[in-house]
Amino acid sequence: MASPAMVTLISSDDARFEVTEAAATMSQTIRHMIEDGCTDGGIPLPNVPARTLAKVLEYCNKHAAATAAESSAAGGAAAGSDSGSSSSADSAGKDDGVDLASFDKAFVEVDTDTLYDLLLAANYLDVKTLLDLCCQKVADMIRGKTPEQIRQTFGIKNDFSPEEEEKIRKENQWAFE
Amino acid sequence: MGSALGRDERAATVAGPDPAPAPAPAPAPASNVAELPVDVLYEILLRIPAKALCRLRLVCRSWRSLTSDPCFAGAHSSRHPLIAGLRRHDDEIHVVDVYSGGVAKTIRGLGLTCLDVNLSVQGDLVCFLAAPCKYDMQPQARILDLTTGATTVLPDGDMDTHLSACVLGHVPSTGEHKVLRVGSLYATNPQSCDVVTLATGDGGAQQWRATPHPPISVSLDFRQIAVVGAVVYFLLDGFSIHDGPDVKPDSVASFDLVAEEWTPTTIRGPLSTHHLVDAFLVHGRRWLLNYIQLAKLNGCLAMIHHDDQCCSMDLWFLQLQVKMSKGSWTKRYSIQHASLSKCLLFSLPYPLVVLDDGRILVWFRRARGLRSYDPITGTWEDLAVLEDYLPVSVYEGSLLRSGVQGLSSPGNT
Repeated sequence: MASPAMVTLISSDDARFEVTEAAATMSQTIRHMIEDGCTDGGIPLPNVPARTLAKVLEYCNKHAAATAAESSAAGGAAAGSDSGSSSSADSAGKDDGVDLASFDKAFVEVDTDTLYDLLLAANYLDVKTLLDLCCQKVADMIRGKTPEQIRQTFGIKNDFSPEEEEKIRKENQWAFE
Repeated sequence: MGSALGRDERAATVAGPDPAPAPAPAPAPASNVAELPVDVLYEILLRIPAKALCRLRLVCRSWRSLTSDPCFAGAHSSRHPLIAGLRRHDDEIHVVDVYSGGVAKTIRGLGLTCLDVNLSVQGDLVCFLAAPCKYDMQPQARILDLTTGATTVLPDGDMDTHLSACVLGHVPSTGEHKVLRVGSLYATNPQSCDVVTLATGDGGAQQWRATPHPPISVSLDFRQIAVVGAVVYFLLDGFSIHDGPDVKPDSVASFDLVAEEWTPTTIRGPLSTHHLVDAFLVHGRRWLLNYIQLAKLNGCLAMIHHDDQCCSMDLWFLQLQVKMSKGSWTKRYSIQHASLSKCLLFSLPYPLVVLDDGRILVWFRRARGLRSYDPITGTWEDLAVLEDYLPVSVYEGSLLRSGVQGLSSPGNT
């Protein structure tokens, strides 16, 4: 079996990461760079620091491997020839649903700063499933909080006057009942 | 979880409320959340239920303007499908989140009566019957705005409302809402009907206008009435003795809300068109009528035909030709479900809406639940428990509209 194609990613602080093309191209941004042939000497990602990129790649590696296992299980069953590797991939594929869901859940059990960095990186790199995961996590954090708690958590300045606050409270009365 | 996300500018953001807010509602640049791209914040807020979002309008100006934007409200509605349900015993109308089953909003003290079995929802407005006294046999038609909670009582008019159905419709060309009322003084009398245009703004006189009789006696059950565009469709009434022998048991009458008149000829349903059910010849149309429903699905009129022997339902969609009476029916779905046999109309499953992902949302009244059916895999999924609602209807408006009227924004053109 041929070894998989590898690409090198360079973080904003010049750390180099070698990953499979399958994992890297979960990022639409990187996929487009590869398609445009901008891969010589590594792909620079000036918006993503090493700490965050390592975390994003942990996610991409896990998901790319699961996808590969799934498709080789399907392909192996269809072709029926590559018996040795396909049977192991097959058993791996069966656990994927549960396995990935718990991986995802644990993956975003991080502090707010890390979550925020992941969110920005997923957005910039355009990794849709990761962006969805992080957005949902932040949404779950937000939904039960009071406006003041949210301002504190996210460092948002209250730019309403007390009169305006009262007015908004009145207009959205039902939401405060 | 107490740390600030934007670490660098934290010092600049601990100040209290700005004593003199700038008149321009542009997001204050000092806000650290400004670091979060607007499209990411948009994606996050889309995932939060409407009630919490309305509360979070207090966070800051940028959150308020984002959650008050009509495009955001539209995207939010399609992500969080809602239904309106009526609970007579509690005298409440609830707006329920389809996926969680959570009550997104409760409107109380409506004066619902034991006679109230219809609920007509159009945009943010709901038409229902209510009375000041619970056992009053002459309830009034009322309009409720689900976003504001405001109720308007329509004038009585000449009709005996306890045997009537009120159907709310919207005329896109004029922007008007109209209520069509069909009923009869006694069940054995021919039906009469009238129409009223809802007042906009500061009210004004609302008068019921009598219109001609329907071409056939029509069903007044909400599961046999559907509004598509500015046309209200009614299945014929299986108990009527006034119709001619050539009327088919799956005939549909249609009322044009623009012209305020009935289409003279009825639309023949798919069953009689395709000679699918001979049973009604044996059992009579009363029997068959228990197994036919109308609904608006995918923006079309759909006729649902239940086969309780097979626990299945066929969903037929009407494609209207130029002449309204010359529609053609296409069977798009044939759905198997394990329901109790020998159901009658009031307990048959009723499809409410085709969701964005293609799944069909079905209300199982007897099982008190909302289930979704995936036509690709042929599988069912339980979504939410709906206790004691009758009737329910899809709510296509947006709860985020509340409070938006007061939003004075220069970009509000």
